[in-house]
Amino acid sequence: MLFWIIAAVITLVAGLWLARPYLLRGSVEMNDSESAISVYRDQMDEIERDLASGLISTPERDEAIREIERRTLQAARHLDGGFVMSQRSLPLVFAVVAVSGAVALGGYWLTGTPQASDQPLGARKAEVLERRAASGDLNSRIALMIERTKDNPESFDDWWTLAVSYASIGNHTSAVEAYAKAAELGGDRPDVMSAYAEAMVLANGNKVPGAARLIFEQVLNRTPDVRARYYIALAKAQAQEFEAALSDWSVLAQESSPSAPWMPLLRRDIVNMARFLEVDVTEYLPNATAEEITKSGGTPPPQTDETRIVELRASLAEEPHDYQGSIELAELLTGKGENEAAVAVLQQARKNYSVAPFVLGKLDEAARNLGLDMMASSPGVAGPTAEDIAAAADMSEEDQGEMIDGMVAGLVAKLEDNPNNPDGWIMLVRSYAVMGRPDKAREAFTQATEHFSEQDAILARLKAEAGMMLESE
Amino acid sequence: MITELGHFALWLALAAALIQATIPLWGAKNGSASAMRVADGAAQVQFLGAGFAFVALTWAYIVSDFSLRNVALNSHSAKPMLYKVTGVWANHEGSMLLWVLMLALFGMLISIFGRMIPVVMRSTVLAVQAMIGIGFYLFLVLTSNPFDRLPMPPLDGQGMNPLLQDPGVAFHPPLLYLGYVGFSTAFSFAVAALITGRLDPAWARWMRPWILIAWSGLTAGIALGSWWAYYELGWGGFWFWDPVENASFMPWLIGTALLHSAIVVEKRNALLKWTILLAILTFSLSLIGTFLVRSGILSSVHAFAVDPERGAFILVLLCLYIGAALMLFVWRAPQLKEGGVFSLWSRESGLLVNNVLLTVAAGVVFVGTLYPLVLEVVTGDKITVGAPYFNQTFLPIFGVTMFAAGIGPFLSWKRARRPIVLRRVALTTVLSLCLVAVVALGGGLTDPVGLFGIFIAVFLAVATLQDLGLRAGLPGAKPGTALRRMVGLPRSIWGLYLGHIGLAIAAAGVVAVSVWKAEEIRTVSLGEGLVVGPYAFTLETIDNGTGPNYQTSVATVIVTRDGVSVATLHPERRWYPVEGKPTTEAGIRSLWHGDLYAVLGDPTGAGGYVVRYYYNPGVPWMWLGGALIAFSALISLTDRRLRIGAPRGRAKAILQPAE
Amino acid sequence: MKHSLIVALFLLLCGPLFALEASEMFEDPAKEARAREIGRQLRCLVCQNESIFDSNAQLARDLRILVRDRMEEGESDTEVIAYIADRYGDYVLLKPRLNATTYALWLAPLGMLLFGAGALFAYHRRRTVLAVSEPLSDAERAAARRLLEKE
Repeated sequence: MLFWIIAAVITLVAGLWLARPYLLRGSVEMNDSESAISVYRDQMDEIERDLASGLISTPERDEAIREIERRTLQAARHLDGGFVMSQRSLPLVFAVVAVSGAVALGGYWLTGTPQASDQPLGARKAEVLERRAASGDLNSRIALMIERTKDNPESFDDWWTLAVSYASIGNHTSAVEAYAKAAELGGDRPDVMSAYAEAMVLANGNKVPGAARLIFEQVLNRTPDVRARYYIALAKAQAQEFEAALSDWSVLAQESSPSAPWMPLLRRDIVNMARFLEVDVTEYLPNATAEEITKSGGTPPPQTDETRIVELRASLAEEPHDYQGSIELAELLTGKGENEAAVAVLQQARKNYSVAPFVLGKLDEAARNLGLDMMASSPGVAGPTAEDIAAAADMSEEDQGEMIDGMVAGLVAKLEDNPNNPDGWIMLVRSYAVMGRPDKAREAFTQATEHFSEQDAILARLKAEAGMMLESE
Repeated sequence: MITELGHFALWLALAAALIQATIPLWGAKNGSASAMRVADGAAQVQFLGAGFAFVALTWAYIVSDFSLRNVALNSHSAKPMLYKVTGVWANHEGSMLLWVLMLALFGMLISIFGRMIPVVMRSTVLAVQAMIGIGFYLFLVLTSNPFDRLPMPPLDGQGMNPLLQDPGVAFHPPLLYLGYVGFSTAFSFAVAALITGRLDPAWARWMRPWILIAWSGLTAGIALGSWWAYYELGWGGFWFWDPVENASFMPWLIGTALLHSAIVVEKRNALLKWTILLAILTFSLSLIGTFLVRSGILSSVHAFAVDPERGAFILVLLCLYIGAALMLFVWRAPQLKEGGVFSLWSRESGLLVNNVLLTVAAGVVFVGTLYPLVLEVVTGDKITVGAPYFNQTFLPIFGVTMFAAGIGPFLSWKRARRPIVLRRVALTTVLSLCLVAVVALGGGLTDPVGLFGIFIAVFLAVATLQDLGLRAGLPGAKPGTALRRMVGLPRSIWGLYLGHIGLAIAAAGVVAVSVWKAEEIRTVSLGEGLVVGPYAFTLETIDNGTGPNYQTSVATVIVTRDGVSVATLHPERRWYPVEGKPTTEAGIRSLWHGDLYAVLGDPTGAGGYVVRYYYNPGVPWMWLGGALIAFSALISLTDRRLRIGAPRGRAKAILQPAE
Repeated sequence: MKHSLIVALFLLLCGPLFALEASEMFEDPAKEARAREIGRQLRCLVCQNESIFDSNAQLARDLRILVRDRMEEGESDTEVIAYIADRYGDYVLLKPRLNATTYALWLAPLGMLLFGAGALFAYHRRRTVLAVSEPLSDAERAAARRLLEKE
């Protein structure tokens, strides 16, 4: 409403301004010969100056002057304009105001959105974040919580939510920091401390650091926290105290309700450990399923696995950048009890993918699923470092090619997992184009355009930045 | 609210333009003083409306209001403030808003500073100006509305092409539009002259300041764009005969012809119809340029056919305005009486030759730019017309034009004495040949084409200086007297000299860099030197850093000559993560005779970097020459005789009986 | 090039390749100059009016290499250009060939120049006939001077 009032006032003022000549009396001079004569006057001056500097001769000057005189007389004949008075006319004022007002207000009414307010980013950030966080977007919730903890760094709840959100998206390093803050503000609440320590473990590539173990032990002193019990056992396993770990887990499993959320994980670890120690799994997990017994090494792996292993080894030798193949091979090997070989396969894969953090994550997950993270020679968990990047510069042409293949494979995996990444797709198309594989590039481009078929802005970007590479093929 | 008021203001400007286009025209026809005076107020309301709309959009950019589609698509919250503001016109909608703002600005300036122009003429001019405006306001609000809102504003914008995040190109469009749109005044004056039948020397004088402003702006805009391409695109080129460049160059060429023919109208009452035609053509080419750039037809004829809304709208406007003006010309021009008569050897004739040459030059650019488009539409054949074509056709014509520009001032009005002129031409030729010989021997230059190019430039400079000397009374007058006379020369004459000297300097620069450029492209490692012409470039260090919205690698390149350090250059490679695009920033040091120019490329592994080093002789002269040309128009603008409002006091006196 | 890709992938980004790579260049400066001259006559098909010599696009690079390969085979400049034009069409030539579709293009400048010159002479011929004007009487001259000298 306020908008229409302001618009109406502006329209009225503008309309009156437009119609001003019909409101006020005034006179207009209609004569227009004087301006022409002033031009001729200047021409006379110029002729005299040219004569003085010797550019024209006296007869030329006289001729020129005569011509100007003739034109002056001609111009003077128009000299009858005089003054014309303007006239007041209220109907015309009304007409001008009405017409201009109708066009301005009517036109705006057609194309405008009068109810829309200004929405500068400064005023909107929190609101938009909240909207998205409420709809379950973790990244927005994190951004929102970062804002909130900045405004109010003493709020336990905000730090806690932030930490949990970080943990949910797998950013354990940031989760550790946020949990630390929450733990500090929460006054050593056991549940908080335990979550904190768990984040430390996860951030450390599922290896329990000493500090985390200490925290778990403190927590356990105060309350029988399941998480603390589980991780202390894991720490024991990682310290080569395999039997102790297995018996701890076994007790935990028996004391827990069979439907407890941590049971699948726990059972898996028990099964793996039993296989590892070559003991009977039913001793530790009385209700073990047939499948679990098989997995624990109860039955020899079928012959088909053997051939598959040979096949995978051959294909990996030819094309080492196949992390899924490596994982499958490791799984098969552990099934056969060849844990060392499985570790070696995963370690080799880690080396090939040392610059693709996403694949490294997958490999670690696989190692963990197979219980290989408890072995002394288990692969470490470090992302690509500055040294890695610097080392790449010194590689041979061939090694660089391999490295690129590896990274592209990592990118493919990442996009399979989360295709909502326009930059990734563009990169992939470009990489294929640069690697001289136009068919692959085209395929990736088609996939990307299909995925984003409803998002015009992203499509436009894809076309502009990746489509160009295709045209050049 | 500000945004919506801006949107509303745009419609208000359209309403004002409607009033301005109709009532004053009716008043001029029927002698109604009130109706004619409506034009002034309407021009002011129109400007305030368009101006507020522009301010509102700028405000939305400054505060990153992504509820506006235009802002969301073209800005980003992390962009530096300067580029948030310049981002307003770095996109289609915003640039069209700037276009109409310029149009309204010129209308308002005429309403305020054009008081010396008789009211019939002024109101008709403003009415025509508003008619142009109506079409473009409609284009803006109906097909390219910058105030379109998004129902769900995004959290951040999509950024702006990083190539455009540069001070050089940031102010290139406003200057270019000052020229493009400024020529609308020439169009309006021409059409007004055809409507009112009033065409005399005074008409040319009223029009002159406006075309001087437009021409100066266009010159500066073109030079700035060229300069930007030179340092930003990273291979030392400055003019590519790209259709977008040609689109701004054609109005410049015809506008230059108009500037010269208008002098003939003012001084000699001759070439009236021709000048009217040129005024119409100049703005028509501006419109065609706007169409070419804004319709997307350049990138692909098919793209235009697929999404023709905007292109078709401008095409219709274009045909409407140009067609109507030309029809009016055909109908009314025969009724105009040509005045002054002149012989073949006269200043008028010289200016006419200049006009013909410039028009043919513009015609060549026009044909070369549109031929591929027309051919593709007609036959489906795709061909390219690139730099080699223009070099072979345009450059010879322009070379002759420069000779003509040198000789022209030797000719006196109406009837020149042929022996005197020939003697002065011969003297100039001999002097220039001597100078070129000195330069060639001194610099060890042998390329015949290059030396001929230099000769043309020197000829123009020598001829211009010679004319200046003669006007000052040299060699007869005493130095003091000569200096006094020189200072006393009218500013418009100084405009002539500065403009022609500027052209000579710029042309010498273009020739020098085209013919004698030295370049080297290699992979080097840190500390490794390369010899480029007389200079040695050494890549010293590479440092990584972060800018406001980009990451960057900055190289330090030391340039020496004969072992003496000359300059330290800092070429950069930047990466803009939001837009996902890299840019190169050349490291340039300008010496009086040329530029040292270094570009940093990709690292190649094993510590090597691809680098491009150039020695570009003459490049600083191009910018100096361009600046002089643009400045010459401003000097001319300060001529006493153009001083606006001067005859007002006399108007009443003339009605008194003579004393 | 590979290293650039590595860096690019690291940061999930990709810079355009540098326009002319050192590895592409001929050792012999005269030959290199010829290759560049040819490169300046050919259009990078995916760019706007850029020659392949100046362009960063992949296709431009391929064409540059093709040009150099043909030169290695001992072809002359015109042969190389003709070879590429045959494969990629006339669109690739920055300087269009003279044929039925381009007569108008190549003849237009000369035609316009001749037309301009012709119009100029016709204008002068017609105008000089009118070059006489009737003299003014003394009274008229005095009136004119009065108008002119009022200051």
